[in-house]
Amino acid sequence: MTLLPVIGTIAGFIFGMILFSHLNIPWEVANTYATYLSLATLAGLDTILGGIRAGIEGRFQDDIFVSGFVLNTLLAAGLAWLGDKIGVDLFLAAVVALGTRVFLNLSLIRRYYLTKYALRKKKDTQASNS
Amino acid sequence: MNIFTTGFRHQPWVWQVTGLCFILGTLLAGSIQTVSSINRSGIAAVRVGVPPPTASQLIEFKKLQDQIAELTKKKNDLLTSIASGNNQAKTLDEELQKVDILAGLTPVHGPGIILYLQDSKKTPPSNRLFDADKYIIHDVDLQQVVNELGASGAEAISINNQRLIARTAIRCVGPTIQVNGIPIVPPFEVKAIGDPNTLAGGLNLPLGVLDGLRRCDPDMYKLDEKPDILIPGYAGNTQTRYAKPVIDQSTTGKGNDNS
Repeated sequence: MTLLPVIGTIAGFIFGMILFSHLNIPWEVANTYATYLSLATLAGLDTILGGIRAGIEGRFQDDIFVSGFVLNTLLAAGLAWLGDKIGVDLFLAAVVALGTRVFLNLSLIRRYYLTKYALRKKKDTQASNS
Repeated sequence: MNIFTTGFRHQPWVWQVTGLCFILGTLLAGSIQTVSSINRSGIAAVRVGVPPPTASQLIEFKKLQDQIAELTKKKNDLLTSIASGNNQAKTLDEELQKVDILAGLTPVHGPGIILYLQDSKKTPPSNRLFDADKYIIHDVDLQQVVNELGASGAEAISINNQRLIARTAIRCVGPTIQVNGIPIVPPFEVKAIGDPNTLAGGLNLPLGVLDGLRRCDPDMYKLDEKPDILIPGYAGNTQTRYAKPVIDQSTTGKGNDNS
């Protein structure tokens, strides 16, 4: 079960590879939406790590999860579009904000697993001692 | 509830995360494919410059071309029907034909010359602009050729099938030369109707247009005299927005600075 998200990502990746290689998008079109797609990917990564963290902490809510994904993606793309219009690389704001959150969530998930590992080790030593 | 004692397994949220992970994977693949396709076309992008026309634009272009052909045909049909009418109409039609030839609106044929011009394949003696410049056909060369042909009595001239009319401009735009606003590239094919001997003689004048090219590289031009060549009509915009015909001769000069 723990591996499910990983399997999902790989399945999606394969699906996307096949899909996008069949679409055969001309480069002029690809050039304009490449930034948006990359930002959407980053927003998705942020939402998923946030979701895993919330799940571990036991306060996962599906509506927050899904709406967070959609709104973050839209906001990131909107910022990139606005930045294009006014000549400031506003998408950097989205990249920095989302990137920070990704690292924060990852560190919390790591902390959870390390603590769990340490607790189990302690329990084992207690059991063997008694 | 201690978060460290609850298990990861059999939680409903794992499935939702998995679902979104699938979307993330798709986006990731899309990003990678997009960026790599941009990188692949990086070299091509320089050569393309302007995006090629889309399919819908091509269809629209074809439609408009068909429309032009259809309207031209209709116009010719109407003219023939006029010509088959009474004497007065016939005279009018002949007059119109003359005006059309003068204006360059109808295709014409007759004896004349075809001059092919192309950039030299020789390596210039140095890379300095002064030297390298001479080995390329410029807009000025075409202008001189056209001017010389006009002086030699050419009655109709076209460059790469662009009919030259009174409003034609020959100018250098980036790597191309625009004639009637249509970009053309070498090799250039200048057709002129007139007396072939006179036309060729005019072009071959000592210290003339072709003389300069010949001193540089004789392969830059090829001059053919032909008994019969076809020159297409002008197919561009014929509307006038500012020039108005003068109806009454006595009003000429009214509002003029001289009066």
